[in-house]
Amino acid sequence: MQNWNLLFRRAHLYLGLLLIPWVLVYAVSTFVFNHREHFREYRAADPQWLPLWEKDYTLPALPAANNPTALRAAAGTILAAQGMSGAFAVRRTGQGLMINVADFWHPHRLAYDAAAKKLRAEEKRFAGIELLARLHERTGYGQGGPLNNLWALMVDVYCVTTLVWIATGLYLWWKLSVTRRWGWLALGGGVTTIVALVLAL
Amino acid sequence: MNPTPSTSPSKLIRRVHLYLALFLTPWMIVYALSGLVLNHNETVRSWYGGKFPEFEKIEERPYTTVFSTGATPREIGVQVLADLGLAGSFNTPPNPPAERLVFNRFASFSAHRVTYFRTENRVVIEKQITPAPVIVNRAHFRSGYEQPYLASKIWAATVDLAVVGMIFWILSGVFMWWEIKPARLWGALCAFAGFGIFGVLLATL
Repeated sequence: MQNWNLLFRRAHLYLGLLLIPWVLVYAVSTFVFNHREHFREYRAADPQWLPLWEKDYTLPALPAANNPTALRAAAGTILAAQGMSGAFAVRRTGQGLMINVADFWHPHRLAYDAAAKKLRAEEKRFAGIELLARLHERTGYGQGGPLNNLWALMVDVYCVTTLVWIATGLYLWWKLSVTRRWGWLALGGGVTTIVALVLAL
Repeated sequence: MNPTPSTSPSKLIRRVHLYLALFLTPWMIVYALSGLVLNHNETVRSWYGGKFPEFEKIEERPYTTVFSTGATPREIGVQVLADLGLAGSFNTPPNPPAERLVFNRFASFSAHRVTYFRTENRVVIEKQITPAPVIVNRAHFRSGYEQPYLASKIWAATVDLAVVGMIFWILSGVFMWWEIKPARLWGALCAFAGFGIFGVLLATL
């Protein structure tokens, strides 16, 4: 039993130390989201997107808006032709494509106009609180590349670790018999509060 | 004189760490589950045939309340939703046409979209069946003090408490780690690995 106790204590501690940067980022960015009315002035000034270049470009065929596989393939072709790589999202915009290239520090977007046969590149103006938002909101696999997958893996590790912290925390609380009464009060208070709020919202 | 164990700073920090965590357990469960849903969005959507249920029209009725010309879409939305028995936090798309206002009312377990045709004095009410992944995501995204409802403001206060909790867990966790001498080496390695991985990803992605 002593070994389990020690294992849970160490797992709780070491996972916490490993994930300090993520906890910090999620905490600070959540504060910004929760008080967004006070942080609007710290967003990037207009124009949000700064032009980089514009060039002639012809895509053989414009994929349909409801064909995400073809849209991604077309966007991948355009990015490769410009020597660009990284995670991206693409959507059809009328007779064109809008490709958003993810980058924590300097997001880019490429606008392809099929009618004019033009490709225009822009870069997002930098703002610290938007970097925080991008760190908070970046999720998902499927972008290719080991580092993109590593970020998604760390998000999974963070989420699973949160559940591990809860499970090991409950175990460690229960082993401290002198804390049970106040612990029940705290846990019961939390559950009661969230249930009441969820029903009222 | 040494402080007694019951009042020592170390014990106080440990107790606050524990009780804060116990209180915030439900919120942390919501954030963890929602994080997994968002990180595996396509897989989760595939469980529902590729996309979550759409809004379906459930009612259309006359609505004759008259608003002053200066009334904002939010002010109108508060009144319309209250009259329809749907009062609560909602959003409305920016810069709507004056004759057609849309109010998205997101309750915890259901979603309604109310379209108010001002010049025709009628409203269309649509409802969306909300599957479990959307319920946890909605709780995850809910934040801010801008909604004029008490429950929304209390929820926002609990979000702030969660932020305080997370910061406190980091600080108190580092403090407690340093108190456990046998854990210093492995703890330092874990922290070093965490900052190293994060730094590489921050610099390259």
